[in-house]
Amino acid sequence: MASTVINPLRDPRDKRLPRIAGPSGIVIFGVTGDLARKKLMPAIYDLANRGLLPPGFALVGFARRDWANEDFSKVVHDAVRQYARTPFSEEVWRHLAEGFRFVQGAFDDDAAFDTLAATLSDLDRIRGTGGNHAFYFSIPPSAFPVVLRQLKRSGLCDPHAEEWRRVVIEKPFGNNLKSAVELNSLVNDVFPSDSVFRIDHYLGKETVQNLLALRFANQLYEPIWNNNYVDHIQITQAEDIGVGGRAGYYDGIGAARDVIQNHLLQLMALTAMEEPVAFDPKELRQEKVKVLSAIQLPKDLATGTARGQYSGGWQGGSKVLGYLEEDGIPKSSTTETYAAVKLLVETRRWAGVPFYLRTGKRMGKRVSEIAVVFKRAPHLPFSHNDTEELGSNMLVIRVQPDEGVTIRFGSKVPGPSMEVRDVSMDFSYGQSFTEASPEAYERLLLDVLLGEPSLFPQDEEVELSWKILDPIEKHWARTATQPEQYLSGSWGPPSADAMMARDGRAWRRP
Amino acid sequence: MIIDLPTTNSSIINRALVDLREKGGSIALGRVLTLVIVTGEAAPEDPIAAANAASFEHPCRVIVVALGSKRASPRLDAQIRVGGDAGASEVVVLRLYGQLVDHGASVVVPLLLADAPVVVWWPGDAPEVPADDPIGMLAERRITDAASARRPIAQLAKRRDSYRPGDTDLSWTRLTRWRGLLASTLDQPPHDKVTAASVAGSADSPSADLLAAWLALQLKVPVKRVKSPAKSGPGLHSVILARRAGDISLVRPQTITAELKVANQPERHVALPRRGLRDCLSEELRRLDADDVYADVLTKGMALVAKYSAAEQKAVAVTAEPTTRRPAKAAAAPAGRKGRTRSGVARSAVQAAAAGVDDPPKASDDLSPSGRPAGSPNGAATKSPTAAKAAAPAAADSAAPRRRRTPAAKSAASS
Repeated sequence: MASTVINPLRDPRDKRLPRIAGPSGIVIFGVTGDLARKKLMPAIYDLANRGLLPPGFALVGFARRDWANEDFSKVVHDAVRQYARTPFSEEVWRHLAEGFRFVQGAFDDDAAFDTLAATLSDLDRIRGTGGNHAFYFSIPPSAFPVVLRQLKRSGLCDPHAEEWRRVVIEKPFGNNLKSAVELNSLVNDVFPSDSVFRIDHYLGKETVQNLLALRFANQLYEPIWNNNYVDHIQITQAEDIGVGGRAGYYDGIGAARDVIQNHLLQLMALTAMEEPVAFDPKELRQEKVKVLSAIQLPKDLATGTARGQYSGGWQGGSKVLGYLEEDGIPKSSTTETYAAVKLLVETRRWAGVPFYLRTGKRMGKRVSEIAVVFKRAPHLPFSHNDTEELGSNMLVIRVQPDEGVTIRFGSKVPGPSMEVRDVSMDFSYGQSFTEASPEAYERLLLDVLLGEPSLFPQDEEVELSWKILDPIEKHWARTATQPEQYLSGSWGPPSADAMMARDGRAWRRP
Repeated sequence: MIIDLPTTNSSIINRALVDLREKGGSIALGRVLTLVIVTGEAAPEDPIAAANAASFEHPCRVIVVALGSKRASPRLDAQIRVGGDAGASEVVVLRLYGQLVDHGASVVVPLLLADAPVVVWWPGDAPEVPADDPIGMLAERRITDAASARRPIAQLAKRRDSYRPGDTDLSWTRLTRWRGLLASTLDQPPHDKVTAASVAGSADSPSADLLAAWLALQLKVPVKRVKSPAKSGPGLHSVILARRAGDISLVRPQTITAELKVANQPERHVALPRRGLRDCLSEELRRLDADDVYADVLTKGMALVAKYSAAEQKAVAVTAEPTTRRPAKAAAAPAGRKGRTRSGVARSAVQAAAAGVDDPPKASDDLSPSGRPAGSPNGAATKSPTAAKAAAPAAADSAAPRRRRTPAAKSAASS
């Protein structure tokens, strides 16, 4: 908890001392879902194994399934065994599992929430969770209102005295500005805005935090991090899978709302923002908000954006369906599975430097990266022939997988003739600090329990990013055409390449 | 892959390493540090295994300097291990014999990675002054392990006398989780001042000494170091922090589970196993700057604990009251020092806590402006602070507050 009381045992010079969460517990709504099983449960175990959870931690699952506490334990056990990052320790598991509870019920069932309230106060008594509980909404947004209402009705959202109650929500944070504002006011009605944690797991990744270290802790990059040297910036998030089981959710939402609004705009904000005066949540947010509010759309949205839908074919050795042939997708769907937009930042630093954001499903491979492409040297003393194969210098921050940084620059090919070709220099997290990087969810869950908000976007950031995306979505809706088809396993539709070609640039192949 | 290079020298080893890199890809390019392990000739395998395991977190070049017999003729045998035999590191084992034993640094220098930090680790007995050791001088960070030395407590005393920035000891590293747990309990309300503490552990546990010293240094209260009998096993056993709002105790019986008890809260259990070498080494390699807190604990904190214990022994000799039999006595602050300004109420809480008395005295908090507990405006309890103040300046014998407390507590209970 943020408190003005100084703990005599915490010496600011003591870098070894871990921050262990205080007495607390997590309640997961929608605990039977994939996210809970593959990410949350293993992350909780890993935290416990690293000794960062409080003694007496409690995990309560809430779902419709008819489970006893033991069944729930079994499910968590299997999930931990399969997905946890750290080795399994019987001892750690035993203490953790003593705090598992399962509450069965539907979201509109008053009795189930009364049981939940009783379970939590029971846990406070037996496990000593101290009335501190985080509610994790691993549920579709349509269920938010009813769950929030229930939490309010049963008094679960009201902490006493020194206790805290927090709510964790996953994207999507609305699907346009209007619904985002509604959602914010709905949640803020029940929980004050500093108790609301919006999880964007990209921001929990080490590489993303390293972006700030790279930019602001080094002398090397900041001087060239502006329009004098940077030609343009490409931010890519590509998946090699299709919509799969998310068809129901995905159709009508599309790639731009699913990814650009949150992940890509957050990455862009971190890449483009000015240096915060201090590395604390408030200052960081201020800088992000500043740069988000300086983002401008291209004048002509038709030439400054591109969208596509994947078509069937062969991808990486297996036959795959096109988007329109997937289960649960109507044949006439105009939802895009690929979106690319060009954005400008109206600041002195970035004037004239376009940011190209793209995301897609069924692309060549799964990759997320930020590529800063530099201008070419103003004069080359070599003949055109010598530098034919020399491209632009580039700094690539690989967010996932294979987290790290690559610098691409020209180098002479050994031999009697002067021939310059691109080579790359690599920094890989995997090589330099192998196992220590925790999963994004570990970091984020711990931050929720500690009440540390730096890595969570707040209302204002969410609303600003919808302000950027809404006109694009409207433009696409107005054209009322079918998104262009692109081959599964390729790098997007021809219109996206044409969009870059018009500016005399080309997409990088990640 | 293991390559043996008998009767060799550093440049041959270097050439072999470069060859390996060209054949097997860029093995050493991502290395972040050089770890030099200095051991005796016999079985350096445990530290190597720990270093290999830690190398997954901190890819490093490991140079093992195994010191052989000085009487033999001078010889250097080397062995290079890469790939599966070396974790994510490359290991060079150097066996030194004869006069070469005293000139280990000359063999190590050519093998250090360019521009990367150097860490030296003595898994067993360390030199008198690690920073002045020829190999120690090459390093930014010097890791010793008092607990694994032949005489741990004497070794720790040496570490204190020879401390230089960059020194660190694994008996300090082993405390990190204990310290984390204790600090996190004080993060929580009630934010009440700790008035005394005691740390119990085996007599030869340097970790217990360091923990007591840390608490004394940070909390600025008397800390008692209880030396448990040998039969209760090695290492740390328990920590008790006394507060007026109730004690905090963290007890680890002879299992890997610890019990955390905070007054008015349910008892909690937590897995708190002894940390392995691998864990400790990983933590050590995480930060390569001087550990200022360790320095203060070692050079100032230990002296504080010794002072309290000396004062306590003196008090025992002076007062010789029946109460001296009780361990409670021990924690009393020595008279005529800081303790004078503190009220007797605080001190009696210390005694109660150290004696294992569960309920602290029902006196008002001397920080509250009114100085009286709510609900008993004229009760006997309100008199006690006054009584305490009167008693405090003359508190040469620590029994005075105790005498006062008894009637006060009684009347509070009866009211």
